[in-house]
Amino acid sequence: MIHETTIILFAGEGGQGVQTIAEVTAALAIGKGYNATYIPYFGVEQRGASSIAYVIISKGTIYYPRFDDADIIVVMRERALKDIKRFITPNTDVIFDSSTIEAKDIHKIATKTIGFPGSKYALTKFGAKSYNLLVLGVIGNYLGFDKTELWENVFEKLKSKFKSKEIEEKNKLALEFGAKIVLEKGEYSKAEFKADLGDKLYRNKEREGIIKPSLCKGCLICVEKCPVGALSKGSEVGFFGANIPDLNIEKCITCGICKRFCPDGAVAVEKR
Amino acid sequence: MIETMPKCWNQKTKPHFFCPGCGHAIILKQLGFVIDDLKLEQEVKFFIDIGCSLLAWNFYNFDTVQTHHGRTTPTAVGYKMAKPKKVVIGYMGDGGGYAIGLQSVLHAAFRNDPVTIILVNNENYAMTGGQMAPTTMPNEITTTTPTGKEVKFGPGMHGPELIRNIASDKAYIARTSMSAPEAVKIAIKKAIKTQIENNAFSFLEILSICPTNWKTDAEGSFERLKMAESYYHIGEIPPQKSSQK
Repeated sequence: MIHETTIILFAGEGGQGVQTIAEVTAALAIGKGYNATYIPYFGVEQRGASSIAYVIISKGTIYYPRFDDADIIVVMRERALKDIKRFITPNTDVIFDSSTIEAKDIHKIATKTIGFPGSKYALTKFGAKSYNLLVLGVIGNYLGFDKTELWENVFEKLKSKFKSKEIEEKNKLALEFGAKIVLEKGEYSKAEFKADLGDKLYRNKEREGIIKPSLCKGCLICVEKCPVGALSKGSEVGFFGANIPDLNIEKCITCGICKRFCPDGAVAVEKR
Repeated sequence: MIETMPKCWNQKTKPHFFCPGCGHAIILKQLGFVIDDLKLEQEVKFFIDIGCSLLAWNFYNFDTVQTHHGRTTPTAVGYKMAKPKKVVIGYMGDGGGYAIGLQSVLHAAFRNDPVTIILVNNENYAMTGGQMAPTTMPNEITTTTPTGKEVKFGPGMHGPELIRNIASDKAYIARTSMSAPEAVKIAIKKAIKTQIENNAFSFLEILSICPTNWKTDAEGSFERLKMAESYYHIGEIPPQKSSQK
């Protein structure tokens, strides 16, 4: 529901599609006859820290696109919680991804909370890349936008990124599914899709390897440079929300090229 | 426990601020390995410039100085004059070294100041959004040359060749590419040894990748780096025979 003026803050991980969600939301409001602004948050922190977008939707004139207090905050990753703290007032609705953020953590900083198990559905039904459209479906539904209208706007913005009909169809389904998700109030899903950031150890008789999801930014240079194909793009996500590599220790020849190249110091192999 | 980082990296500040797949971090890793090998952690003073390279301000366990646009070299030279026993390394990008800071680098080479300058060349101004830089190659696409760099803007700048013209014969001047980290390590080692043993200027340009501004994945980044490697000469640039210096 959009009131006279609605101030929305989107916060999540870089690469989750936070900016896309915010931009499409503002474009939709303009299509409905409102005035709307969208402005991303830039800074050094942006490189590997949380991604934030400011959106204001109003019937009147908007004088300044940034704000101190938000009416609605959409938070998609636990790590963004410390950044949204200062925008929360007693009347702020905090919409959070209950499958990655624990309810007890969010109750420490906010009173009015609404959950949706976004990551759970995105990862089990559509794949990590469709997460942004699923969230957009949830938000569009919450703000009272029609879902066909929502899809038209999304398609206009993202059509160059849909490389095949198949991907387009999948994203459309994710958006429509998101619009149907029943929002959780009071009882929330378990945070079972929280990224596991413990070091991953691989070992056999001759050699051992380590991958650190807490450091990996998912550039996949190690996968590209591995001469025997022992490293491959994995399905798990690390600290930065990107797919981390997977190591096949049997194929590995302990050449150490992955360690040489890894810009983040997240991978190494050694002879035992 | 297997070590994934050089010992002189400050582990508390990791993950660092560089983008995913950044060439800077790969080069800083080789520099870390060299400093570990030569056991110079207590001796090294590290000077960084404005631009993406400044994100290395808390990268290492040793002291780091961050200074104004292009003024890294004179600051480093000044420190070296005051503390001649320390090993002074200046670290900058192509914008800081070849655009705004060229005269500083040239004069340090001209005076044969005993400092080591490492210049990372990613062919654009990466921190401000990938605009055309002096090192951008002809026909290369950047945000300010969307149809490719035109002839009127000149060719890509060959820094080490330029500096060689006025540098002392003792100076070590070379260009390497990040696609061969072992070669980068050898070149950095040689550059640092030139400073310590020969008391001479050393300058090393390293061709690097910029996945964020090139908009490439891992494979695409290294393909584009290959183009740069064929345009710029890789290897040490020897002193000219006719020089009078």
